Amino acid sequence: MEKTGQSTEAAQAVAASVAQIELAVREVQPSVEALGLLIDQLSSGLGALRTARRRNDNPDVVAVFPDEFDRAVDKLQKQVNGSIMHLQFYDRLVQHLKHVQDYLSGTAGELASHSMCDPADAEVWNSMRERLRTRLISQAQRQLLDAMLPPPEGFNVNSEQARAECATQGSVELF
Amino acid sequence: MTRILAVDDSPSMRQMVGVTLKSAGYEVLEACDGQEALNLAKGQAAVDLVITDVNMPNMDGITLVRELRALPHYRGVPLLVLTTEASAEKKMEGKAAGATGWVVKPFSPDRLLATIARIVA
Repeated sequence: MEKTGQSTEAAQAVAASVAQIELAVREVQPSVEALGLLIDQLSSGLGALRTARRRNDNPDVVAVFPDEFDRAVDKLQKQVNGSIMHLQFYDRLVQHLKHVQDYLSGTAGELASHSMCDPADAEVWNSMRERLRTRLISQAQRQLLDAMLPPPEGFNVNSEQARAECATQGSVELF
Repeated sequence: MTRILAVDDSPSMRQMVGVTLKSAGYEVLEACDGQEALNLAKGQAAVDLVITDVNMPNMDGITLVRELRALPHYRGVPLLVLTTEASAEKKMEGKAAGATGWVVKPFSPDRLLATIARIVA
């Protein structure tokens, strides 16, 4: 097969992969939305339980197990809060995949439109790689990219330094 | 009632922020990007706090912070950035634009609510 033919085949394969990622994200969306709604309803239900507990604070009715009631509600609230944290990783996944999709789409475009021997291509590839690296949302993602696709100029920031420059997940800083 | 504007292009993130805030008794307004949030603000929507993502279409969160700070009635409103962006460089950019604080996703509901209580107290 000629080089241009190989490029076209490769471009189509990459484009097909991008479409598969898109489909996978779209297919799971309704379930994630349903999960979000469930968490919303659980949280509202807990609020209603707390209100009901206060409104019916009649010793004859609830005084036997008030501590158990409060403990159970607090435990459920912690579980709801945990669900809220865990569901956010879906959002991170979608963002991560979107950035990879954009990179792959750029790759497919380059493969389809350029001759692979053009020296100017190196700049385009480096620029696409750098754009992906900038958009990645965690140090682990950037390290994986660096390991699989090292920058042409070599590393200018070691991994410890990069890690130190990044805030921890869930961190809060007030200015 | 304290009113909070939550800005994020991800429906699931807006939902999780909304659930967290409403569970603590806050009233929540939502916008799906910086431009919609700015339009709400320019439409004189009075809020006590804005929580915004950074990477959004139409207008990003840093630009939103800068634009809100230019509005006279938003100069004193706390603007909290809630983002996956964790680099020191981005954080400094947010601070320079006028952000009040920086929270890295995934957020812990307890920590977020404690932070908000401190800010809006």
